[in-house]
Amino acid sequence: MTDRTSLTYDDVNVGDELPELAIPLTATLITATAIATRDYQDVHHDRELAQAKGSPDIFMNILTSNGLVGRFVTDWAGPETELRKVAIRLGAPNYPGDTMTLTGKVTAKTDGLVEVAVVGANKLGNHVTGTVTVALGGSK
Amino acid sequence: MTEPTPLDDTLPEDVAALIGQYQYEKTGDFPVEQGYVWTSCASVFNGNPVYWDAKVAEEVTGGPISPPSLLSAYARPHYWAPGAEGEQLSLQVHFDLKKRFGLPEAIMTDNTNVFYEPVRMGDLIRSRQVLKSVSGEKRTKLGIGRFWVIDVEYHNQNGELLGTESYTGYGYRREASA
Repeated sequence: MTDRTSLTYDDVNVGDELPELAIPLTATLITATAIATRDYQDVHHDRELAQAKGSPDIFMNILTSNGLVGRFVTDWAGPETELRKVAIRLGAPNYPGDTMTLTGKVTAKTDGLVEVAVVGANKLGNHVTGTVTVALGGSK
Repeated sequence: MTEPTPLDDTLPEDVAALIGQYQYEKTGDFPVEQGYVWTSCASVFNGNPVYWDAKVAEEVTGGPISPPSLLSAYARPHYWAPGAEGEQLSLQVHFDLKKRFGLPEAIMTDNTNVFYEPVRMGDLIRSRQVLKSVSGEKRTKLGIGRFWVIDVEYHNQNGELLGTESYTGYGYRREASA
C-alpha cells in the first residue's frame, strides 16, 4: 500500500531539522537528469567538450539541482505537500564521483506556509543553498 | 561565487530597450504526459506517490499532475525538429545576450520558481521570456562578463498561470592565464 503519511502545519516547528539525504553524483545521474529536463548543453553530458570549456568534468544542470531540492523537502513532508516556491543559488559544481548531502531546517511558519532552508554540500563546498516554501496539507 | 569586481557600468541602448519586453512567446512542442513524468521522476529518484499512483493523485490533487519543477522542461524546444535550422535553444534571451556581448561561456547562478495552478496531463504549456536586468562588466574568478536576470512565465491552454521562473545568468569570457 502506498505510504501517504504527510506532515501537517501543526506537526512542524521552527528549528526542526530534516533527515539528511545523500545523493551519489554519478555521470549517469548528471546526464540522465539533464536530458530529462531537456537540457542538451554539452557541459552536462560530454566530458571532452566540458573540459575544452575549462571545466574538469561534466556538471549537474540547475534544473536538476532545483528538482532535487524540491524532492528533498517533499520526501520529508509527504505527498500531500504543495510546493509553492523553490529559490536556489548555486556554488560549487556537482561533478561525477562526488556526493551531495542535502540538509534542511524549518526557518519560518506563516499563514499556513512553512519555509525550509536547504543546503546541498559536496566535497568542494556548498553546491546549492536556498529556501523552499510549502503548504502542508496532510493529516496523520 | 566570490564578490565580482565592477569594471564598466555602461549598457548598450539596444540591450536596455529589451528590458521589460516580453519575448519568445510560444507553446510547448508536446502536451504534458504521464510517461514523461515517470521518466523524469525516475531520473531524480522521486518516489512521491502523487506522481506515480493515480489513485493517490486523484485523492490528493483531483488527478495526475506533474512535478512543478518540470515546467520549463515542457516549454523547451526539441533539440532537433524537421525543418528547423541549427540547434534549437531554450531560454533564447540568455543565448541572445551571450551572442550580443561576445561572451562564449555562461553559467546559471540563481533560479527561483514560484508555483501556482498544478500542471496536469494534457496541458500545453505556453511560455514567454522577459529580460529584467543586465549588469555592467564585472570580473569574477571565472573571467570577465555580465550578470543578467531573465524571468519566464508559464500558462496553460486555459490561460491559467502555472508558474514563474527567474534565472540569474553570468555570461563571461575566460582571461588568459598569467
